[in-house]
Amino acid sequence: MLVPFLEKIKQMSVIKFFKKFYSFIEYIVLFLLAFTVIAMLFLWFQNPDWLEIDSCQDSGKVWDGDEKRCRDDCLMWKADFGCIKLTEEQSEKYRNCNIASCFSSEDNRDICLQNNKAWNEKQQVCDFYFKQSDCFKKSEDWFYPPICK
Amino acid sequence: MEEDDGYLQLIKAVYDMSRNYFDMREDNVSGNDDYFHCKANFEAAQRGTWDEKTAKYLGDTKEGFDYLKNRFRGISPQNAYTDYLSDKYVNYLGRHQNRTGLYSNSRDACAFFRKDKTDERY
Repeated sequence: MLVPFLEKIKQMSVIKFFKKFYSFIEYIVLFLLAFTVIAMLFLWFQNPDWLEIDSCQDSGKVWDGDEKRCRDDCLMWKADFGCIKLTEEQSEKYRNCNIASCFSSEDNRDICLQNNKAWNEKQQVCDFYFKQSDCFKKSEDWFYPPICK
Repeated sequence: MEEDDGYLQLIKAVYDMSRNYFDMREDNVSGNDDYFHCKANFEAAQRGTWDEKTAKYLGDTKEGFDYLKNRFRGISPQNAYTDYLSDKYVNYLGRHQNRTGLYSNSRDACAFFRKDKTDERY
């Protein structure tokens, strides 16, 4: 009883029209369009500032999550340690830089210490997660910022 | 070489583009947008024809949307268009780097855009 019924449905012109119209390509396009709209709505509900954040980061700047503003004077911003601030001169140098390593070792050291972070002289790296409570607790290869004195 | 069928390629490409978008948001390092554009397009174009088409569609749509957003914000047509072309080119480079077959991963393929303060996870 079911098979003749299904056969009858297959013969219907609406079904034929549907199958003809919604070919594989069009399913793809519909999916992508739907995804685009849904993604935008999702981003909006996740964070109403998403358009601002998107514009900010897409222009190569940094989004300050605390002050809710776009900044071009920060090397980076993370929730754990906030803004790693650059001086005017350092910002200018970074903006005009098109390579991976924009700063010399001395510059990196200066940026590190001026932001009250510890600098490892041997490995030439900065501990951006450094806090005042960590003062003098690291090995002798580390230089401490002014807040430790 | 086509890794998956068209539908799977599409879904995985969408996932790659989305993941890199949120990674860029989280990394939040100045000047790293080009690296994530390149990386996203490289990763999203790896599996075959539909992967690459999806990456191109999503990238171009995003850049078109950004152009309109910039114009709405009062940015001049010339600057908005320059920004649009620049980002589209970086997207194209990502897909092109994948097509050359010279790189096994996106980090090497897009190394010239990657700032040294980028989180090691990316």
